[in-house]
Amino acid sequence: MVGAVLSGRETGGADDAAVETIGLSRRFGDLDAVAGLDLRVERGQIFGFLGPNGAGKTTTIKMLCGLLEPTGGSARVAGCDIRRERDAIKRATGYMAQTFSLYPDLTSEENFRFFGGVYGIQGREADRRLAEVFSQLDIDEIRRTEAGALSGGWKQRLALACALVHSPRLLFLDEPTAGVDPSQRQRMWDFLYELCEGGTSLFVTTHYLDEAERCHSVGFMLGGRLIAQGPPAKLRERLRQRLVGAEVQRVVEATRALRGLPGVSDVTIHGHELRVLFEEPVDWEAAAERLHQVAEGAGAPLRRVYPLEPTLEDLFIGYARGHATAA
Amino acid sequence: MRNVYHLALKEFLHLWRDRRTLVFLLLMPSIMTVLFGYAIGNPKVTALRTRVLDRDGGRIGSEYVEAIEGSLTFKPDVVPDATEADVARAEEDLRTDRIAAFVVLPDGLTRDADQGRPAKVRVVVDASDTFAAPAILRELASTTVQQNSFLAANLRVRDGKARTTEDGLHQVAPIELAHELRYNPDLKTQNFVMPGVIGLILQLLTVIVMSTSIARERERGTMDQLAVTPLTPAEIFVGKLLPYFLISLVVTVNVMLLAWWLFGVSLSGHLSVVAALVVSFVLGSLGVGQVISIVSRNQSQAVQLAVFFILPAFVLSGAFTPIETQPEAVRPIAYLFPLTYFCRGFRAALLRQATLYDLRVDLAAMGLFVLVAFGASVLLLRSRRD
Repeated sequence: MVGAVLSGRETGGADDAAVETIGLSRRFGDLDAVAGLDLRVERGQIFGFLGPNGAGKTTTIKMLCGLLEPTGGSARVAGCDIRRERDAIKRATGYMAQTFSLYPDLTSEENFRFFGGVYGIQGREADRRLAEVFSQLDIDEIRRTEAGALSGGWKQRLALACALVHSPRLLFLDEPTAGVDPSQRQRMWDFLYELCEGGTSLFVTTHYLDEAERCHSVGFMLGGRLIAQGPPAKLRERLRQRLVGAEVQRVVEATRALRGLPGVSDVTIHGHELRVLFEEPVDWEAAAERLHQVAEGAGAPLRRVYPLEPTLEDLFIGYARGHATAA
Repeated sequence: MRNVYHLALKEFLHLWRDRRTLVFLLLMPSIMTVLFGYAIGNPKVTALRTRVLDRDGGRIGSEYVEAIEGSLTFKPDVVPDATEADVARAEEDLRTDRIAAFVVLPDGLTRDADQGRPAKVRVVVDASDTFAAPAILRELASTTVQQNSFLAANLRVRDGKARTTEDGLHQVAPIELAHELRYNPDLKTQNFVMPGVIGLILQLLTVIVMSTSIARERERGTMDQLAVTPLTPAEIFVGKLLPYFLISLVVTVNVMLLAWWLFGVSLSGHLSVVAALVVSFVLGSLGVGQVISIVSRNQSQAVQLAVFFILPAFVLSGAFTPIETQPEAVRPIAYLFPLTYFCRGFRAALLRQATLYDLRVDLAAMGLFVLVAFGASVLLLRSRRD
């Protein structure tokens, strides 16, 4: 067992990915939850796994963690085959589930020691690991608190601590910041960067697109398929010169009018700002003229029009509505 | 196996935190033992309110009265020189459940009987109580047989065919039933019932507690968290089972000592036999609990399924009433429940000092059950991942 872990480490050459899937698929009856997934996550990176609910993110994570058998394709996780080297994968990876899944009637320390125990970490080693991880995640003060009595942010950090008990090289986090307040989210991300710096690869699903911007690389799932992957900046590049902003008082009327304009793929409202996405790159000054005209005609004159820097959110809203083209 | 130790330790921690359940687990069996020991322990009917209407006033009438008064079955209320009106009132009291039966000793009973003429002692019984009615009839039938024998013997003395009444009795009733009661000579019902009670308690404890335990892990989402660890399904199975197995053993010893102390239930069986029975039964039941918990989605579903398994087991297994009292058609079902083999084997072990060899069939049946339950739950746990 130890041999498998070591050999995994040794054979893992410089270009060995943290996760690599080829045509990975999972059917549930008639439903293709994940269809032909080709994914590559580099080592030492934070990979953001995005997509709307039901896109197949959790199914993918479960397959990669060995909780679910794939119905097609293959994958290597931490250098090990997910079908044949399940045990080695389990020792090399950690998993933090979407819902809090520790024992509420046990204290933080007892939860940590239990999971340590099942990974074979006990005695002095467990003491050392407990001190290390608890101080790193700053949860020493809740050591003797029952996990069920903790609030959201503490729970997430404790769950992270338990997922880290065996020092995994790759950590899967399913919605690690769901239902946590912004300052706790901030804190969580600080920990994730710290881990990443320490050499751990992270595979994170999230709903928050501002969090996705922080990842080294992201993948976007839709309907069980991966429709885009790459560093956020590179993905945003696809929308360069296709996004124009407009300030307007009567946002609803203006949106309705602009959506009907030929060449406009989508319009989203952000307060008094409309973000207008064009199907092709446009010269924003030329476009501004048309926008003013149409809005005026609809009785919702635009105050000003200006070029916009695209965000991942623009891209993914576009994908989700089928307006952005996958490349 | 180190992993198993950690899981078992965690289960103990859960129990320790959940004091109420722990106290329940440890106390419930004792309370049930006391309750069932007294309640089911003594199904003998006693002190039935019986009206005796003596219209005879003679020797035989008063002998019936004496016999009835001397029996624990009855709590008689004798009406001497009873009239037709008294009989009518008795009929009414029977209807309103003020009495359970009444006996009419007819006018001229002694006279007719002494002269060898047919006479009728009438007994009217409320048969809605199916335990009491046969007991009353049995008791009066034996008094009547006795009276008849005496009368016949006396007639022979009068006719000069016998010298004494005793002589006459030997002639008219030559057969004597020489009975020897073995293995439970005092007819102590607790000796029959306590093994059933122990079986019932162990069954309840193991199936319900075990079945909710894995269902709870699933409900909390901790099952997935366990599944990503290197724990194998077999290790999870054994780790969850071990604490409840140990508790079951403690409870068994506790209940047996209590049964011995309160009800004088025999504890003279071979230790190896008792141990083999308890271990195989508890393992089998835990296995069933495990299977139930794996197939149910949440704790309440698990409890429902557990009850669905336990109830027929209680009724059909012969825990409290012999299987032989059930209709032929139902009996084979009893042999699907390990409780059946346990009760039968446990009785034999305690009362008849049965050996392992004597109980080979019961032990083999329970062993088979353990294998099936264990195999099924490991397979089920494994298939959950696919």
